[in-house]
Amino acid sequence: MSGYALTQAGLLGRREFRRFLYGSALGHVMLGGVLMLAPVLERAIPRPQPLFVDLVALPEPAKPAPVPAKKSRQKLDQPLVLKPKPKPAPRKVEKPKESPKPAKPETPPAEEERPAPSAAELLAQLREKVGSEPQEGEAPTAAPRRGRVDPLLAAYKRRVTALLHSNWGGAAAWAEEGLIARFEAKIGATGRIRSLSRVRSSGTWVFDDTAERAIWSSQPCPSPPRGPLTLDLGFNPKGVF
Amino acid sequence: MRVGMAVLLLLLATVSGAEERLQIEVDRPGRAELRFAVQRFRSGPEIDAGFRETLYRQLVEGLEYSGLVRVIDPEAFLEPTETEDDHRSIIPCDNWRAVGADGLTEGSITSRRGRIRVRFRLWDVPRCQMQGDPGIFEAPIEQVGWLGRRIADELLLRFTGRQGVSATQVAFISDQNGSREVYLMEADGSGKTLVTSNKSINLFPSWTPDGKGLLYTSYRNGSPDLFFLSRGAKRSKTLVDRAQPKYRAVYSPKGDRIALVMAQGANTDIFLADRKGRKVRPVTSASSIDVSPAWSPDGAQLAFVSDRSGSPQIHIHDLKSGQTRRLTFRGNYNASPAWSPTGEWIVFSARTGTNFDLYLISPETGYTTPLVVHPRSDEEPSWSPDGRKVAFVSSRRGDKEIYTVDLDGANLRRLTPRFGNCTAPAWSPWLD
Repeated sequence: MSGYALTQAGLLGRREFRRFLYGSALGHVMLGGVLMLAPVLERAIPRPQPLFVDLVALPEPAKPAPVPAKKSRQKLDQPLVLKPKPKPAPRKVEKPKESPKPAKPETPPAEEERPAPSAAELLAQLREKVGSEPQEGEAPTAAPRRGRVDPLLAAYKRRVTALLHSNWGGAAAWAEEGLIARFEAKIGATGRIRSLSRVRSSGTWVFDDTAERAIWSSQPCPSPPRGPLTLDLGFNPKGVF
Repeated sequence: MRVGMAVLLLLLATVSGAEERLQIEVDRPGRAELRFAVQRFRSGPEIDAGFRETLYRQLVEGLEYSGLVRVIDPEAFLEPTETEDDHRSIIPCDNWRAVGADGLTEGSITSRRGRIRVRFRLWDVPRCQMQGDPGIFEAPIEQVGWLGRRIADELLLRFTGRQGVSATQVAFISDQNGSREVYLMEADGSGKTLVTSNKSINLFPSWTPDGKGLLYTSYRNGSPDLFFLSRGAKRSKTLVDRAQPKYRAVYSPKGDRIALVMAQGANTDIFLADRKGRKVRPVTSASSIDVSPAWSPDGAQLAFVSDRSGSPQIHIHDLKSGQTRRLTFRGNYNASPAWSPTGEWIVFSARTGTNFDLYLISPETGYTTPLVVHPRSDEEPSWSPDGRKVAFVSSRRGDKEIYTVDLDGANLRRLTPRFGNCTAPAWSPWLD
């Protein structure tokens, strides 16, 4: 029976029907809530993100021994068969000597004796350089736990600060100790400034203008690591007097 | 239940609207100057190419003279180096931003009946908006260089709130012709012209506040007397009809009074007169030598030098209360005070050893800081009308020469090389 029919039948006052209405409303609200939470959930889902790292040179791979031309040739009429590479022999694990203090080698091991680091080892080194080790079960691009430094945001902050610094010009002539101008900039996912508002004026419009120009000159900013972002920007000159 | 649902909805809305925030503090500008792109102004065939080039060069030099602006090399432009249309409502800001421009100047030149007319516009490139309305300046065609500098000063006013001073002048004394005569030159030292030619000793030129006249002291009649010369006039006329020797005079900021130094018995005192040199009355009457009066910007106080404490020191006299207070206490010879147009500082020369250096002192607190310190003498300072530069006399190269320097000690500029001994610089007000 449809709601219209129920209404027509004069059932609106019944308790069962009120329960039905409340239940339906609650269901709609929850559905709406899920839909509204979708962007948050989307952000929480780990996505491939750029990782800002210093470029390091990998050790050059050992040059393959020259192969006789005969062996590399294959007749065209023969099917190309890729032979599986032979597995490397497992490294021999030396048993620790019984002596408690192993004698120090007189010379450090030669560079070429070191095994080339694996990709996993290199990645671990890079992570160490960036300053954070992802926890177990934590995606590398997810927001860090509370109180921890987010390496992606920290790198992003460094880049934007450097950009603003280089674009901030002409302020020295008006800079006085204690001048502070504050702005709120909403940065879109592509790095474009969606909105910019002056939160606090320094009281000197020329100074405020130089700061605002520095922000606009920095557009497009680097893309924020996890989508749209709000920047609280403070311009507080020190050491230019 | 309804309240509960409303709270739930509000919570959901708040959570879903939250965006990551990042706080960034920038504590040092990356560069000191603003960067301007200047296009060569569009002109018709009636405008000589040389005039157009002079206007461009003087505009660029006028901007850079301020020390606040660096002009971008047109070779770097992604847009034309010459204005194509100075009436369009939008410009390709991204292309100008890409070359690092904070400001862009474009314009056009026309001429009519021996006068040149320049229409110019200034763009705030980062914000991609025009800075003020288009400006229109006009001048006789032979003053095209001055026009370029005047436009530069106007652009600075629009961008920084303070007009530039490249189109101002400096009056000074030089002995390069054998006698000490009054000369004028542009603020960058170019265009030196002789003002007096009486083959006598002329001293202490000072400007009327509107820049249309000069006061100076001359020994042309034997004893020192005050003279006034209007701009464009050929003859000077005497001022203050008194028999006593008169050594120096300066107009008040409003131009309604003159403070002058006049002999009083064996000493000199400070006197006040009206703008025509009449109604003379004493300001100081101590048994000391009182000289070098300098007005405060509001005209309420006079700084001057007095040896009433045993050595020449700077004092301040309040004209309303009649009270005098000593300002400088360090050193045994402080002289040549000049009050900054902003009122914040008094610049003066202080003897250190056998030479003089320039110092700034706050008239309120007495806080003192060096401005120009050099093994040779630096003295006789005079402020630019914007209060950002000081002209002074230095003997660092042997002869006394006039230099200018920014208030932060930067942009030292030598104005009078190979022009004899030059003294008593007096920076003009803004001239229109």
